[in-house]
Amino acid sequence: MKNLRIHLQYKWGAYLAIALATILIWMSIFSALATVAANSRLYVAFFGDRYDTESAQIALEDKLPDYTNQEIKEFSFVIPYLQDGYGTQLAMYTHTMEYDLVIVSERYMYNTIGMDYFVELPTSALSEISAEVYYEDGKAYGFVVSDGKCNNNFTAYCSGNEMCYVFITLGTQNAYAVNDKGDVTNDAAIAAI
Amino acid sequence: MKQTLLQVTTEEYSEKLKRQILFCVACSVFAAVINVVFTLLRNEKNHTLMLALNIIVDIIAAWFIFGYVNLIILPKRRLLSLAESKNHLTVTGIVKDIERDTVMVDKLECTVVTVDGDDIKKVFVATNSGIALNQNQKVTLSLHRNIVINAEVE
Repeated sequence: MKNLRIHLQYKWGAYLAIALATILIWMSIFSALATVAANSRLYVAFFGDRYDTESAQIALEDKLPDYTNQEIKEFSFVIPYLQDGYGTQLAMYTHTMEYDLVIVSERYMYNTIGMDYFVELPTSALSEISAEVYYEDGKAYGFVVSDGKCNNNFTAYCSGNEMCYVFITLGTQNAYAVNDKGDVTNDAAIAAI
Repeated sequence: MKQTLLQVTTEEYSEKLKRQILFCVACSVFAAVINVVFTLLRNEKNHTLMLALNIIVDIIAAWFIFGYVNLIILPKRRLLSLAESKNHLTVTGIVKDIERDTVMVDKLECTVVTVDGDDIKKVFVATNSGIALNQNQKVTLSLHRNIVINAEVE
């Protein structure tokens, strides 16, 4: 017992370090395990004043399996808080955050937004979607989401008469690998539109 | 009567030590298997529970192994290396005093024994050794760095 007491007196720091290291290691392992793979999630960001994200998410979760075989485990709709110079934030959401789709309301649109932040859409994607295409310099970058003009999944959730545009981001892995990322069979982002 | 540090031969002692080391390895393998099972059982609902179980299992296993190595295996290894050491110094005399408090010598818990021979000498007897001396005994001690390796009690 005396041995044990002396041992604990001198080595208590080692016992503490063992406990902390174990916690840290397992926290990081489990955090990595809990992260949903890019091709198992669909994240959408909306740049506008109002968007019914909850209804959009529920509707998308219900309808998406009818349009794609890709299994999506996690859906997320986000409305970033917009400040002046929202272009920087847009860049952040399209490049860094790796959202799959970005919906931009008419109020925040400008002439070269597609060229600046998004990826040119392939013909295969255009032929699959029965929505008005948004072009810049003759190149297709997105789709128009507006009541009356088309009937796609996001139409009902934009406010009133507001016209919105939906873009596929540079980071997505769920759009036929249009940006050389992901699998060519993954089409959840296209199917969502 | 001859008293030795290990009480058994060095071969028998090192066999026993090997078994204890194997026991430690078995404990860590067992903990690793439990970790794998808990990790495979993990899903979205029991994520936190499995994380907590893995942490608890690993902390208990690591504490136990660390304590076992430090308190049982390492002292025994030190005793073994002492027993296998060469160049012993021999001291003959009468045990005058045995201190009640122990001291740490070469990371071994030892009792301080005063022996009155040609001159008065303080030697150390490892507490987990097979050597037990009493006052006023006439002894011939083999020492290595002042730690008693063998004692011949008359």
